[in-house]
Amino acid sequence: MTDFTVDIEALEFGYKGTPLLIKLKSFEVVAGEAVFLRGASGSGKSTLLGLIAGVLRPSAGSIKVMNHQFTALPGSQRDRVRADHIGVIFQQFNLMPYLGVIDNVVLACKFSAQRRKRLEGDPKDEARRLLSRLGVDKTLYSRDRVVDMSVGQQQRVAVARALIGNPSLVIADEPTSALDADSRDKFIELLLEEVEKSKAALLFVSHDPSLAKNFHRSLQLEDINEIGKD
Amino acid sequence: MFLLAWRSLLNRKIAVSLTVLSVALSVALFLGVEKVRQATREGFDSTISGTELIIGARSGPINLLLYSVFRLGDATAEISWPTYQTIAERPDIEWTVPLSLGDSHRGFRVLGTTAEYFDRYKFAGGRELVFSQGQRFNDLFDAVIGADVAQELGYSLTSRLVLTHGLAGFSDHDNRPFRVVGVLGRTGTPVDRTVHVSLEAISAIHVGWETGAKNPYADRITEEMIRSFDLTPKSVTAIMAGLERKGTILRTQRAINTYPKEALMAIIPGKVLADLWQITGVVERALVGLSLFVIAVGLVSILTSILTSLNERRREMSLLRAIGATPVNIFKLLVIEAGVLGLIGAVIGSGIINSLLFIIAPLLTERFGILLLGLGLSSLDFITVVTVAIAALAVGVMPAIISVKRSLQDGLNVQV
Repeated sequence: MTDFTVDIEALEFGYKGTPLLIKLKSFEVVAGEAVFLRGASGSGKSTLLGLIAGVLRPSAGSIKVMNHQFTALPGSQRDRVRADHIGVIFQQFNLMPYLGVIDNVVLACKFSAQRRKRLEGDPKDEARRLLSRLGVDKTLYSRDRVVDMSVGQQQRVAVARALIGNPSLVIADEPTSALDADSRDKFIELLLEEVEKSKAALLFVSHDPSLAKNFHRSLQLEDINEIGKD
Repeated sequence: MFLLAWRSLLNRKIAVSLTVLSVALSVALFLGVEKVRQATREGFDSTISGTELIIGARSGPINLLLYSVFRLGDATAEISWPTYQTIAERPDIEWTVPLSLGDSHRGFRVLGTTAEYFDRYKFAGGRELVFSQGQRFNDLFDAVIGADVAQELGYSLTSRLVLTHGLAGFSDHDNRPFRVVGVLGRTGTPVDRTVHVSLEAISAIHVGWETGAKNPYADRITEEMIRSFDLTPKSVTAIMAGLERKGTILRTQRAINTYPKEALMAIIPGKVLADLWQITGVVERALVGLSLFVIAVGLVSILTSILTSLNERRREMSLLRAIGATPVNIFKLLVIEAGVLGLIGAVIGSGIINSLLFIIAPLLTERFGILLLGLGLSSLDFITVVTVAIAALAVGVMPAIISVKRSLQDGLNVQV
C-alpha cells in the first residue's frame, strides 16, 4: 500500500453562503514526493492549501493528512497536525518582523512538542545548521529584526523554519514570485534538495509553468478542480 | 508565548510606551488620591490620644480642635484665668493642662503650657513624649523644642531664641531671649514643630505689649523687673482635660457647654475628628470615584491601542496560525499583551506616585503643618497593581476574540 501524505477524495468546499469553490474527485501526495501544482490566480489554490493545512474545514468529502481525517477532526486537532507535520512557505511576509533570524526559525518548534522531540539537540543549533546549509549569511543571525534582510535571504530563512523538526509535508505557496529569475532557479534547486534530504513531501504551487521541470509530478489545478470547468 | 508578546510590544515601542504612560498616570492619580487621603487621616488620628476633652472659647468644634491640637488656624477668643481655675477644680475632672497659643518663632508656633503637658500629651494610641536631649522647662525663660524645630533651625541645648509676637514675625520680643533646655524626640505630630514654654513666659514676653503693640518703654524693662512681676496669665487659649471617670464625659461636656459666666465649648477629640472625616468624606469619595474613572480611561487606552494594532498585525496572526499556532495561542498572545501593558503601567504609576509623595510630603508638612503618616509602598500599591493587571487581561479579551475570529476566516495566508 502506498504511503500517502495527503489523500483527498470527493472534496467539496465553499465559504458559508457562497457557491462551491473547490470540488476535487481525488488528489494525493505520496510520501517524499515533490509535486508541482499549477494554478492561475483565482483558481482556488490558496483555498486548497488552506484545506490541506487544516485551517479551513471541508464542506464535504474526505481529506487525510498523515492519516488524520480532517473532515472529522475539530479545529484544535487540525492545528496540531499542521504544527507537527506541515511546514509552510509563502510568497512573502514569511517571518515575524520583530524576531531575529534564529528565533523565527525556532518559532516552529514552539508550537509543536513533536518537532522538538524529533530534533536531537538544541533547536537553535539545528536552526543554525539549516540556515548555513541554505546559504544564509552568518553575520545576519545576530540581528534583532529580519525586516531589513533581502527578500531572497528571508525566503531561505522561511525554508529553514518550514523544515526544522522534520515535517512530513512542506507547502510552498508561490515562494519565488518575489524573487528575480536568477535567484528563483537557485532557490527552487535548494528547496528541492533540502526537502529531499529531510525526506518530506513537497507541494509547490505556482502560476508559472516554467518552474515545473525538476519536480516528480506536475498538475494543473484547473484540470482536477471541477468548479470553474465549464 | 510571553516572549512573543514581549517582542511584539517592543516592536511598537512608541505607541506602546504612550499607552503604558496613560495607564501609569491614571494609576498614579488614583494611588495619590488614596494615599494622601489615608495618610492625612492617619496623621490627624494619631496626633492626640488620652485627652478626653478639649475646652475652648465657644466657636466651632472643628475649629477648636484644629487650632488647639493641630496648630492650624487661630482661636477667636480665649478663656479667662478664673474660669480655667473653676474648671480645673471640678470634681469630675482629674487633670487639666492649659494651652496658650498665638506667638511664633521663625515660623514655628509657640505653645505656653505647664510642665504637666509633657506627661499628659499622648499620641499614636498612647505613646508618651520623650526627650532626646535635656529636660522640661523650669525657669521662666526656658524653652523645649520639637524635633523639627531643632533640626530645621539647627538648635540644640543652650541655643538662644527670640519669640515673635503673633505669627507674622514683624515685631520681635527681642529683649526677652529664651534658652533651649530640652529637645523632644520625633513624634510625627505638630509637637515636632512647636516651641514649648511656660505659661508665665507667655505673660512675660507680653509685658509692655498690653496694648497689642510695643510700648515705647518696653525696652527699658529688665529681666529682673519681669521676674518680680506677677506673671499669672490673664487667659488661656484652650484646655486639655482628663476625667475622673469616663462614664461622665457627656455630663461634664454639657456642664461646660452651659457654663453661665463664659461662653465655653468642650469637645471630644475623637468624635470631632470623626465628624470632620464625615464632612470631608463626600469630597474624598468623589475624588476616589473620579480617579477610578481615570483608571478606566487608562484601561480603555490599552483596548484602543491593541484594537488599532490588529489591522496591521493581521498578517502576523495568520502567519502564526500557519506555523501551527492554535486560536488559543492567538488569544493568549493578545490577552498577555494587554496584561503586560497594564502591569507595567501600574508598576510605573506606583513608582511615580511614591517617589513624588516622598518628595512632596515633607513640603506639605513644612508649608501647611499637615502631617502625612504611613506613606511609602504598601499593600494598597500591590493590590492596585494586581487589580489593574487583571483588569487589563480582561480588557484584552475583546481584541483577542476579534483577532481569533478573523484569523479563522482568513485561512492560511492573507496578502493584505
